[in-house]
Formats: sequence, structure tokens, C-alpha cells
Amino acid sequence: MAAHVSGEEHHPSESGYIRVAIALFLFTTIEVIAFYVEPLRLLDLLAPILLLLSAIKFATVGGWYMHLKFDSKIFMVFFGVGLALAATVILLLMTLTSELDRPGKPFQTINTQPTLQAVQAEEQTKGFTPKYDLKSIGNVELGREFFVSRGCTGCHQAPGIQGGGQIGPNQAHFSERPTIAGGLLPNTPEAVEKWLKNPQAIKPGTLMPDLSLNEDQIRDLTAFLYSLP
Amino acid sequence: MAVSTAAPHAVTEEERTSTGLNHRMVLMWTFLGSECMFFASLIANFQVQRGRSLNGPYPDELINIPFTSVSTFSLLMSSLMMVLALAAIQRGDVKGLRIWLLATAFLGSLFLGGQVYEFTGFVQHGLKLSTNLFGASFFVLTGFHGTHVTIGVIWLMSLYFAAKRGRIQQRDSLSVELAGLYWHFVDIVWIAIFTIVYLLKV
Ligand code: HEC
Repeated sequence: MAAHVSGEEHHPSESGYIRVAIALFLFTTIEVIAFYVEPLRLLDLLAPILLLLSAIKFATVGGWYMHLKFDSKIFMVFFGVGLALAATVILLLMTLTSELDRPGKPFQTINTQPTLQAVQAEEQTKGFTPKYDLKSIGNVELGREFFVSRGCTGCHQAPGIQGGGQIGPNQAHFSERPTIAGGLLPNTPEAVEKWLKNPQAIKPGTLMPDLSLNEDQIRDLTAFLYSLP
Repeated sequence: MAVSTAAPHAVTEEERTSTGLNHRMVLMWTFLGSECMFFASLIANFQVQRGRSLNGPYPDELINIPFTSVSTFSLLMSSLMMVLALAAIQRGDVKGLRIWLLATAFLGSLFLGGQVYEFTGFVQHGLKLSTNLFGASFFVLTGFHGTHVTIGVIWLMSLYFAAKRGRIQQRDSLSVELAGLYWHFVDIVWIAIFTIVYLLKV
């Protein structure tokens, strides 16, 4: 450490502080540059480099600017225990959600095991051939998830789905219905998609609300509905 | 526990403590330890929800690294201003204290302005708190950090005005040191957030 300021033997001097700031600046610059270096990413080196650099920055600010390096070690213990618990929380949660083995995989691929509902649905679909080529409409599995997550079960029942309200029609044997919405629309994928997009526009005052679904969700839900036995 | 009497927060006559440490410093460090856990839960949440949004807008479409790098630098450099403020008052230089405090608060506000701009842009692109998992975890994490910065700026400005009225002298440097600890902590949290939320695209 360089010359010290007026009896301040335990803290860095002002020029020391500035040197630390330059180091912090450089480290951050390297981080940002590394972000743009494509080979690092491809070689899976980006994450380790970034984590290492930010750990160094973290320790630098803590050690010099917050004086942990020079102050009583008890402060270090107070902070360190919190930090250790913090790191444990992050690692534990990431392990629990298998984020460590399969980072960043989209939600759909996380559930490689079929859900109970999917198994039950499979059972009930035995001997049932859908009227349409469902794959060309949308993703049945996602549709089933949306049927629950977007609140359709609040009003509709469907085979293979637990519970379900009775405000709207039960969606069993969906493809066998000649018309939908009480005879207003023919029972075709296009009409169902139109209905889901905005039921109120087609049948003002119907009990089915506009659920603000996006295009993908609508397609998947339609595929799901036509998959129902 | 022997503490060097040269330390600015050394035990004074009025204040004898069993650890030999100043109570306010102990309080601050315990608080910061608990803050680590607070932010860890939000960071863990972000990390766990990463890439699991079922619908857009997705982070790739929104995050602007050059822009956020600039606000990151301003927060980082505000930490330098902060230590210079502390060094000034420890020398008894009240004018220096005021200048550096103002510089710290200014850089902090610059960072906040950047965040407001960023949030507005995200909302305009259709990302709200309730849009998807990214929106929820991103806004909660960075929003809470921004709140901490805001509190920090208010704290710094109140010190500035206290110094202006002559209520902060060399012997009160501890008050500046405590605000500094808080400020640096907010800075290190951002070091983690910038890396994890912005740069890491695992
Ligand atoms: C608030 C209750 C409610 C919710 C939530 C709801 N619906 Fe409906 N739904 C109804 C009612 C009531 C009808 C009958 C409409 C009519 O004919 O007026 C209906 C009709 C339908 C129809 C036409 C079927 C037919 O035979 O007439 C489809 C398809 C449908 N709903 C799908 C969905 C999907 C998919 C969701 C979730 C995104 C959903 N509904 C959510 C109440 C609801």
C-alpha cells in the first residue's frame, strides 16, 4: 500500500482507491468484451470467466472500498455468514430445479416424465383417432398445460383433466360436436381458433371471457381440444 | 479484542462495548449480511426461471448490453466517489466531503435514470411484471435493487445537506462510513446482477 493519509494507517490512500477503481473498470470492460467473443461462448468458457471476474470485483469492492480487509475480522464473519447462506440458497434452489445439470432448458423439456394427467389422457384416448392431423394444428401437450394454466378449467371439464368447472360445456368428445358456441360456428379448427381469440366478439355477452391468449397458445389449445376422446 | 486506536470508529470513552467494536458498525454489517440473503433469494429465483417463459418477449429481444454497461460503469465509479468522500471527511475536509457526496449521488441517479429508461422500453415492448416468468423475475430483482439505489441516493443527499449546515465534522466520519458501506453493498449486488442477468446467457 502506498503512502497513507494523516494517520489513516489502516485504510488505503486516495491513490490506492483510484487504482482499485481502474482495476474494477478494466475487469468490467473485459467482462463486456468477453460477452461478444463468440468462441468463448461456444467453448463454454464464458460463464466461468464472467463468474470469476465478478467474484474478483465483488471481493475488491468488499475488501478495499468497504475496508473488510483492514477492519475487524468480526465484520467479515457477519457478512461472510450472510454471503455463505446466500450462495447456499442459490445453489440449492438451482439443484432442486435441476438447473445445474440442464441449464436454461425451456419449461417444456424439463418435464421429460409424462405427467399423471398425460398418462390418464393416454389411457382414455386408446382406440380414439382424432379427426384432424393434430400436429399440423399445434402442440397437444402444451395445450393441455395451457388448459389448466390459462384458467379454462375454471369453467370447463375435459377428459384426463382433474376437476374443472361446470359453467361452460364439458369438452369431452369435442370433435364430435357438429357446431360450437351454441350453433353459431361450425366445428372446425379455424372456427375454434377464432372463438378462442375473442369469444365476446363472436357472441357478445357470452359467459366465456376473452382470455387474452396469444397465437401459439390458441393453436396448442385447439389441438388439445381436438385430441379429446 | 484489541482495536487500533487509529481506526476512525475506534472505541471512544463514551462507548465501551464488549467486542470493542462500534455498535453502529456491527449493526450495519449484520444488516448487510441479511441483505445478502434477501438478494440471493431473488437471484436464485431469476436463475431458476431462466429460459422457462412460455411466451415472449424473451430476454434476448430486450436486453441491451452496451446501454446497461454504461449504467454499470456509472454505478461502479460512484463507489470511487464514495470512498473519496469518506477519505475527505476523515481528513476533516468538509468541502471535499460535499463535492464527492454530490458526485456519488449524481452517478447513482444516472444509474437510476438508466433503469427507468430501460424499464420503460421493456414495458413498451410488451414485457410487464405479469407477462411471463422473465418479466416477473427480472422486474422483481432489478426493481428491488433500484429501490436500494434510490434509498442510497436519499441517504447521500441527506448527508450532503447535513454537511452543508455544518452538522458533519471530522469526528462524525462514522456516519459517512456507514452510508458508504450501504452504497458499496448496493454496488456489489449490481456486480452480481449485471453478470447473472445481463451477461450470462447460459
Ligand atoms: C368464465 C368461464 C369460462 C372460461 C374461463 C373459459 N370458458 Fe370456454 N366457454 C364458457 C362458456 C359459458 C361457453 C359456452 C359459450 C356459449 O355458447 O355462449 C364456452 C364455450 C367454449 C368453447 C366452445 C365449445 C362449444 O361447444 O360451444 C370452447 C372451444 C371453449 N369454451 C374453450 C375454452 C378454452 C380453451 C378456455 C381457456 C383458455 C376457456 N374456454 C375458458 C365459459 C368459459
